[in-house]
Amino acid sequence: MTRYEAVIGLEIHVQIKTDTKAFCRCNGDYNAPPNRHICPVCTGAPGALPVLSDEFVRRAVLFCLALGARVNLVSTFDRKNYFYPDMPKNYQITQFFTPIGSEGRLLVTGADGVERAIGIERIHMEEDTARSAHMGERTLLNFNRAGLPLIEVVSHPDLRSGEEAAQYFKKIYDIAVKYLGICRGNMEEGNLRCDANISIRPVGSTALNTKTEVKNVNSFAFIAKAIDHEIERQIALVEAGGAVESETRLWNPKLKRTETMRKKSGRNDYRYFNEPDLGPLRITAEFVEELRKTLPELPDAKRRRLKAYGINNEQTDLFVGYPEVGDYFINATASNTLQPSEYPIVSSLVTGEILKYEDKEHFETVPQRIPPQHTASLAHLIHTGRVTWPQAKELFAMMRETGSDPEEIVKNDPRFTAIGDDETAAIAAAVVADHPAETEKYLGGRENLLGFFVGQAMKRAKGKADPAKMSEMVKKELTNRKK
Amino acid sequence: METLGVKEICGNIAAHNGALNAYLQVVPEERLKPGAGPLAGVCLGVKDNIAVAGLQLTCGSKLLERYVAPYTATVVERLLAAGATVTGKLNLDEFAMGSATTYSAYGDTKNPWDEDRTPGGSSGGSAAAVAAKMCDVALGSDTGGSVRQPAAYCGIYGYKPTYGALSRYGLTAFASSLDQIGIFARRPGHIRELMRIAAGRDDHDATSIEAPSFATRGFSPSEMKIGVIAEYEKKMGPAVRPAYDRCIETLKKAGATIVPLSFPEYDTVISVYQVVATAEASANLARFDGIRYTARAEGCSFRETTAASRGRWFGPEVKRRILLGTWVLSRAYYDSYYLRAAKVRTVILDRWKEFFGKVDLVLTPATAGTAFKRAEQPDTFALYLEDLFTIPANLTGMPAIAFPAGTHDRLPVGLQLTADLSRDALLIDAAGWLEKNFMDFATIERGCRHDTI
Repeated sequence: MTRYEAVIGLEIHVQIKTDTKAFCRCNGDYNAPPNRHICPVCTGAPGALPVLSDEFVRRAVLFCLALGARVNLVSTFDRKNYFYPDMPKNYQITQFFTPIGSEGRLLVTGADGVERAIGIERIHMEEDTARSAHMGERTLLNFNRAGLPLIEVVSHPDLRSGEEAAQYFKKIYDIAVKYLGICRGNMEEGNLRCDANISIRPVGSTALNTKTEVKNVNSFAFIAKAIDHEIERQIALVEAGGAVESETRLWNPKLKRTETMRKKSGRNDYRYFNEPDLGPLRITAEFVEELRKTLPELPDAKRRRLKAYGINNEQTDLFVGYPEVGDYFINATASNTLQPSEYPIVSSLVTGEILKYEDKEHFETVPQRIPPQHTASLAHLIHTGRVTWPQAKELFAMMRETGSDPEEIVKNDPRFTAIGDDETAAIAAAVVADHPAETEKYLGGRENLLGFFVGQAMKRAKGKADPAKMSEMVKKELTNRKK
Repeated sequence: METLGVKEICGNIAAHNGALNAYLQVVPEERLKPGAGPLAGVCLGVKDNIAVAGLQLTCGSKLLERYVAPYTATVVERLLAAGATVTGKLNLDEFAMGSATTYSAYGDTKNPWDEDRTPGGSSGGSAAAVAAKMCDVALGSDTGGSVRQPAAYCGIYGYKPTYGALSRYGLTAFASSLDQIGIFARRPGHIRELMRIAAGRDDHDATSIEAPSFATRGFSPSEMKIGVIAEYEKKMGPAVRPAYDRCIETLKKAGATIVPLSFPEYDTVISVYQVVATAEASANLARFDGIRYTARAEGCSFRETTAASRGRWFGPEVKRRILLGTWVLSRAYYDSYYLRAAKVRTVILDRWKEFFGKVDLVLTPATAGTAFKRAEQPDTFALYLEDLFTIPANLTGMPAIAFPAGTHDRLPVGLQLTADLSRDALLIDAAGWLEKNFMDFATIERGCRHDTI
């Protein structure tokens, strides 16, 4: 029986967040009342001309760098000609002949657990269309969105499964939305749109067979499912002696299957040519290097770095997916003289306590309200046994409310007051008395048992004793037994 | 700047526009309030493919019959700010495609020298209005000669600046890489005054450039090398030749060095132009789809509505060029037409750059002959040849001026000077010198039937 593999390429449109539209100075707030933010340029009035937004260029270059792509110092703007009611000029200004970015790459982890680089063929700048709303017989047009800056990222057909495609899409999302902050990331509003080109071939073949295009798989919930379903549909079709037809398909989330949207009869001819109103876009190597300096640490690098912290995969995923939360964790571990063995406690405090109260999507103000060094102090109090976990939770709520250092709270609040020397000594004596066998061994030279006694004693003191003091008392008690 | 005054101009419009059909829209006299500034009192006619807020913008097309411009072109705005007054919108070939103003959906414009004849095109309304003193100066647009050829046919000055010197913002695009707003005037000095105000970078036009200097440095022919092109000399008709020879003679006598040049690519310019211009036009005119600001023919779908609107209201010449442009850009023919034309265009540019390594100015005819009779308009392809002398300046972006050079058979003859990129001031200086030393301005004025002198 033939085994098949899938060949998948993704085309992702990322709507870029800038103050203005791509080619005019209209406000980019597309949610304003219909046709509020429009002008002769973005409605295609006769005589209006496009002027490229500098901010758009900066963000495009930053995105290219983040995707490991080559930034082309000279790129072209070109007209893509086709008639469509929501296209003001009936051509779209895009970058066809030379895009701003070429040959980038992103890592995905395959089913075998091995990381693979997915090639990015091109990254280009273009303009969004207007929005149409159908009201019975009528179609209404809203030009607020017309001319908004878009960046299209086109992958090589390097993806092999729905799961890989989902990872790749998520990573593009994370970089654009979470790391660079160049996209609002609202999927319902179409800030990110993803189309998948899918074909199948027998394993071992290098042929590129007839593909179908599945439109609008821009949902983390169903991108993998939609693609896997389409792969299975194609395999079943070929196994039954049929042939895959070149067509555009849509995922039906209710019926959980893809359906024909339109057959592709021959290729569209977009009659591309250089946009004479703009001329080539020229940028300098210095400009690119300046932007490279502003690039934050990116997901792959962050994940690599987090590996050293001894935290679990779930927490790592969370810190990579929400870089502000991840940075909080990293800052907390750096802000104190914490031992690496205490990092998992910090991590648990961040994921368990802080995120119980704070929204990971809106984490910006958290470091001011709950300084990372306070969280580090709390972790240290837990580690040393100064406070128990139940106490720590109470303590955390207090420090979150008051903004105080937990060390201070512990010192001043009677609930967390340490027990006195006498009581400590009494507990130490009782623990030693309760463990004659261990005492015998200790006195016989097994001095590493000291930790065992201290641990037991601290437990009995419900963490309220000073561990150093307790250790001293236990040692004294044991030494006394020797005599 | 010397002006005729609102009263005289309105009188001339009332007297002659009915016969000449130069204005498509006339601003009533009571609304012509002279502004303040260096251009106070200047009456400016504007070709009806350039936006002036509140005035119509038909582009000579039925498709835009009821369209009113929502904004004002940068060039017009700058002139208004300097005190000029817009007198109205001037006739043109539909979307500036034509050489005789016979492709206007609103009727032919007639040549003030002889109403049976064409004023040229596509800015025929602008040329006729300036020649007949229905405005002081006028704006036109020049994609392949649409300012210079009608200026020559009407016995006035027609100037196309260096590409980018005047902002195109507000000029309805025909072929964006060739289009320039140009100026019609009865005196070269008027052109200088307008350029001083209107030229320069515009934030609304990415292809606009810093203004070259328009300060006059005087013109001394003895320091000048003037190029003449052998291939073009063979192409001019008997009506133009004597004026051309006299002009060379005048310059020579004044000490100029005449340098023969060879332009072996001259016969490619029409083809290159037709490919580039129609290709760009096919995209530029796509926005006229019957959906937003144009007349709409009702159809059941977008496709039907668009097809019906364009089919019904675009004229035959516009359709011809859209079809040709669509074809040369199609995947199968892109390389052999559009790409090839773009390459030849750079060869032509290199050739003209080489010329200006040797000479300061190039003298050619503006047209092969004088204005033809409207009833005897040549066929489509012969009409395209009208632009043989004027197209190189559009393909290279270089500034050029058509200037009056006397008459032949009671019709004006025009010659043309071309200068290197951004040497616009030299061009205007030269035209000023020729006005005094070569052309008897009064003779030209008396020849025009609608002259009110």
